[in-house]
Amino acid sequence: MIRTIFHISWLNLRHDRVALVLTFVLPLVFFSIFSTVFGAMDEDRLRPIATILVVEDEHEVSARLADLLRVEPGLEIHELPTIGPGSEPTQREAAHHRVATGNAAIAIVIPSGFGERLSEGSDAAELGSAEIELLSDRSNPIAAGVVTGLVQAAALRLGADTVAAEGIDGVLAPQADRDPGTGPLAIRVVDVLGGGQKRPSVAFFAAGIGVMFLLFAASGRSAILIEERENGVLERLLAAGVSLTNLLLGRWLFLCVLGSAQLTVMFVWAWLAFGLELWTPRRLAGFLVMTLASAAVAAAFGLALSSACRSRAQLNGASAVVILILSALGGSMFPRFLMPESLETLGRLTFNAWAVDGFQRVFWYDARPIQLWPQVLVLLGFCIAFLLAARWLACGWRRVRA
Amino acid sequence: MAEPVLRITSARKRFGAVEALAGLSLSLGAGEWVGLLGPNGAGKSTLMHAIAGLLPLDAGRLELFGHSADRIGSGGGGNDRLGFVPQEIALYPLLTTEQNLQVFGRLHGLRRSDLEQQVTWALQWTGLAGRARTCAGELSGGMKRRLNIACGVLHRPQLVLLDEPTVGVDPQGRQRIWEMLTELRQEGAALIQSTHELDQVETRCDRMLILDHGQIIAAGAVDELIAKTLGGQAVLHLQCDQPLRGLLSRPDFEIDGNSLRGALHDVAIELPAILAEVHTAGLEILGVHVERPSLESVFTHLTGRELRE
Repeated sequence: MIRTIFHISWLNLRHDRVALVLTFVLPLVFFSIFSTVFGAMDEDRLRPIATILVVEDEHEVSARLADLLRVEPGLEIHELPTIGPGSEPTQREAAHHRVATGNAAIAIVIPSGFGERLSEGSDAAELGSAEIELLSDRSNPIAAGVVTGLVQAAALRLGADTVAAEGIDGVLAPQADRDPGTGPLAIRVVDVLGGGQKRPSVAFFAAGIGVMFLLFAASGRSAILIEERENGVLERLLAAGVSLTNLLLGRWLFLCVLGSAQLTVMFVWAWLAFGLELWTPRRLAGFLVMTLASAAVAAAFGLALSSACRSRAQLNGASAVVILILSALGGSMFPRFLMPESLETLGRLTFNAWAVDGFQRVFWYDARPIQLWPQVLVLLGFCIAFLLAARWLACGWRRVRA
Repeated sequence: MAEPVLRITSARKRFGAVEALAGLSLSLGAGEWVGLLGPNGAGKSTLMHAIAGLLPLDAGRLELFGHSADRIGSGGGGNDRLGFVPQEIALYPLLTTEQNLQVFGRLHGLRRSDLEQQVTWALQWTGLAGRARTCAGELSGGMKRRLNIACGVLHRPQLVLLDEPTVGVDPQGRQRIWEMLTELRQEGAALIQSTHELDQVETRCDRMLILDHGQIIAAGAVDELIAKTLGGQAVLHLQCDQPLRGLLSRPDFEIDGNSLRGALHDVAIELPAILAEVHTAGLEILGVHVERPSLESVFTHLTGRELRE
């Protein structure tokens, strides 16, 4: 008897391809994504950090330090166009702006007079005045730590080269009265957002988790399309003159409203419970834009998925697989800056990434609504593509028993 | 004669290698109740869906109320003079009885006072007034069937398509549904009803259409069909204790192991002779049954006894 029950369970599983995928394939996909992301950390293979280098000092030591930073494999150095004296904005201001608007993670500034102070300094006080500045965005806390370490390492190499070439002694060696772990240079980390953002992780997770559950809700509610096909309501609606296009648009509109309400509840809760700064005109406007765009694309995604599935069970399985993978790649589960470049690039093909990025721009970078146009444009593109796919797939619904 | 509510001429529809409608033609008058019969796969549902505008025909012409129905139900707007009751319980199970009636009424163009009036009528008509606030999913099978029909006829259409409206309902529930359909017909609606309950349609429908292989193979009132196909004969069923090898006097009878079946023109004359022949052959007769020809006899005679699926 037990053997027969076992056999029935096996036969059922064997015929349920979605369950097989959920059981055996999805864990492998997730394991691979997480291993790729966090395995790189274990093996010291972090992707190079995109860094802007601003060299304000013309001293030879500064030039050599800059050269060492340029060849540092852990850094992907970007240099801004050379600006003449007195031009506005200065390279430092341009770098500051790019970091502050989320277009670069960090900038290294070698300030004017740095080389001279470093070469002439012989005591801790003088060396302390020769400092490198890092213009940092705290939404990526890893970048500041890693770049600090790499700059110190470059400084040590610079010291060794200098000793070998010129016999300068003592310079760039860790001073006795400084913490040995801090390295030879004084490095000042400047938060470009002025410390105004109190809870960076709250903004990230409100967006990431919000978008992920928006997708689950949209695909779950879209199951009504499958129920209508299964229980004959679809035939009744079509016989009453409702076209497939109108049926899909009606459902899409409802899911848009539902999704907007869901995201609103999520962010209001983030404000109430975790102090997310929501109530400024700019943020409210940005939130509205991103919420509408995200809800629209999630609704269209849900309709396309449910149009493609033949049964509720198939939809449940498929939505779990697709949404979890999209969420992992799109940055709903962990920040995309942790990912290797290949995965991050892949993540850009998911609409989650654009939605999360848009919310980040609103709540972290305080972006104006007009500055969200790239995210909104991409999301609307996805939305239209999903709606067209849903309409095309819906043509296959008109199957009738002879 | 008044303009027919439905006229189909040489309708053809093919699904891959299967020809679901093979040049079918029919006409239906106002207030007429037609039973659509046929084995599974004969083309009944395809015909219903084509009339409801859910399937375009490959060839042929379909006219509803004197107008071409090519666009109806295909995005060109529904026909409010047509009602469609699918075979499935096509309801929203989480909505109440009343809410289901309201949403389907709205879809058929009913508004405010008309809608309210029709919902009240439908609740009375189906005997579900006491269940107006009950979710459709919580109703019994028979109640769901009645509500299913009501949602399709709430707008009081002149032509109603009913795809097996009594399937899975207990005898009392079926009786109620037949009464509801009779009321509809008395109010002037034309009904096309597909069903396998031959004994029920036999006494209620004006006309039968028997479909097979996408064509109407017989049409007419029950008596007419019997006369045309069986010639008013009775049918003899004989059961013996041993296998029969055939009767010398009646080679036209069907033999199936120990059973024999065949038509009798004059029971009083033919039956004694057959019983005598069987007895002479040394077989013991276990049972004799003579039945008056029925719609089922006609149906079996025309479509055969082989399984179709």
